[in-house]
Amino acid sequence: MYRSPFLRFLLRKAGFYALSFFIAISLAWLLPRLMPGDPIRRLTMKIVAAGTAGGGASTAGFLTESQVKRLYEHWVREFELDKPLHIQYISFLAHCFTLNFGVSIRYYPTRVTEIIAGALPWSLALLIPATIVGWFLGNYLGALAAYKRGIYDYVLYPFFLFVAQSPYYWLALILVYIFGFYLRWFPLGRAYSPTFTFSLSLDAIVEVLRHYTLPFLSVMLPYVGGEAIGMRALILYEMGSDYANYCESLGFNKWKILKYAFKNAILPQVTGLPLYFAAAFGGQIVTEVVFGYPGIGSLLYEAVLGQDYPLIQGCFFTIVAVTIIGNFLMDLLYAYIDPRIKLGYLGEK
Amino acid sequence: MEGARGLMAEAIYALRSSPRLMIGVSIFSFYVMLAMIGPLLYPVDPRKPIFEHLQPPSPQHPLGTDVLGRDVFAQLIHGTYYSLKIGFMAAVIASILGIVIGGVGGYFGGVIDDLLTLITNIFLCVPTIALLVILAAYFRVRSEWIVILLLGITTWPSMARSIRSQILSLKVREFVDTAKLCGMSSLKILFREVLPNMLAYIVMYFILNIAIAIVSEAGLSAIGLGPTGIISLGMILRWAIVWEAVRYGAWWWFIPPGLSITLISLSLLMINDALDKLYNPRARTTR
Repeated sequence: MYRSPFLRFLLRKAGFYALSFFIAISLAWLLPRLMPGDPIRRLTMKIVAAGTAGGGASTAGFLTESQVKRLYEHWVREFELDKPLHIQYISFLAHCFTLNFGVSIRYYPTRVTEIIAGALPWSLALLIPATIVGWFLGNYLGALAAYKRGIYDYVLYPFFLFVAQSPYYWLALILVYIFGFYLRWFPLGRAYSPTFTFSLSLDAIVEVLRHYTLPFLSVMLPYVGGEAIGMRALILYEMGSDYANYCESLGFNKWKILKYAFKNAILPQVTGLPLYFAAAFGGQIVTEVVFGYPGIGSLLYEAVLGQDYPLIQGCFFTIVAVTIIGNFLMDLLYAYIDPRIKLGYLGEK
Repeated sequence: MEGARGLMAEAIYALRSSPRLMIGVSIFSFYVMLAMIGPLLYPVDPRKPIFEHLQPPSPQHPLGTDVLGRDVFAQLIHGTYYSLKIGFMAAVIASILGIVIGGVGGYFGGVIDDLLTLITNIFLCVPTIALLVILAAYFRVRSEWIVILLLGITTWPSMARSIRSQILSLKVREFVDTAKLCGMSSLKILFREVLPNMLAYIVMYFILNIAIAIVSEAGLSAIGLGPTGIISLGMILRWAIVWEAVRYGAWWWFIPPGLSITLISLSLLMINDALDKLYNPRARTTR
């Protein structure tokens, strides 16, 4: 039916991702229901406790036994926990389709979708440029270290190893310490100052960049390290292979051989992108928390602290969705640049 | 014990021939020693806020004190112990899952393989930390064993994938055919004949899994979803983040735990890499 191998590749990938997505969000629905304990009871207790702690001004401070019970039942109804499981599941899936995750508990009565829509652009503004710049820079530096060897390699390679292994958020702390605390070039956190309003003036752009640079570096640097290590090894391998030796004996310019090696080495580097993308988005969660950067990561963190289950599920949905869409786009790119896929050599498995 | 002596000689040869292995083993051993005999040599309670707060390093407190007046070096010793323990145990679980899922799928093929490969790939494309967060968030109290279990069940997929592809190339070798002709059962061939041939490979992946689990635990702890009630390296970082160590300029508080996480995982990676070069001649050509 689908003659074009390119199209068949894409359809198979799309099908796989759709299935993955479905299973991931089903897990997000199922797991809390398998866990011990009653989140709604906990939630009710929390609200009652908060009211008591808040003193007489709060109405919740003087809840009677029956009022607490009514509150509990209200929540159970609101989360549709009184219905049979299969109905709950179907309604959950239906809600996912319409991107309706209910109302946040922490930011009651704001809708989860609204909160996430506010945070997602911030996260993407960090993730996408960091991935692109990091990928190019990492591959360039890796190839450079492999090609030049000597002093370049001795300085760059340990640096790559180190930044690739250090946790993002720790790198973030160090960057804030050096540039924020010690040199005072950049602010100590927050993606924008509280008094800041958006405009297209030069000042506004400088202000955003000042707050953006450090989180950006802390997400990008580990990636540069990881890519560079991979590229370095691949180039070293390619430069030692038969065709490179042959070209060398024919008297080819070394840059020309490097160009061939680079073309061969770049494919595995593209294959690694989707896996990186998933890891980076996860790693970014912690970075955002450290910088007080208003993205999905910070949101998830707050949701977890406040045991805000609708918001946790909404964030999880978003993270999985972004990752899977990202993966699919990388596959498109891969299919586009790998000649074997277009020719159908990698047809089945 | 002839075998043991042979192994020792081989280990010494490996250490002498590969500086990378030497460095990796040295760093890792240093941290193991720190965790094991540190509490005996430096018997300070890491939880007791009994010292003056935010003191920079001094002979009395080699790594200073935190904002509550707790000794950072004592925290580091205990944190290293728990991080290593959690990483090791999680790697055991992850490796067993990886071997069984990858091995069974690769060896038996067919529908089982399709299904297991699908599950593996799905786990690979969902961000592990997000899955960990949503799982951990539903436990109010997380003992170290719950965290170990959570890390174990989220770390296996990449190993399963590699084991599967290794098995695919091993199962068509002659010795497997011979075993089949001898009438051995499939499971017996898989676990007695095929897997032992991949032992070096499995050990390498196990080492890698320890590194991954230690880093994951640290990330989980850093956002407050690590094990409750114990000190791990990630936990120290969490305290440093929550109480804004950077604002106080307390570098002695947040540098050591992060550096330890980095060095431990780096040393494990170096060991893994060096073993790869020793056992895989193809990789030996490139430094």
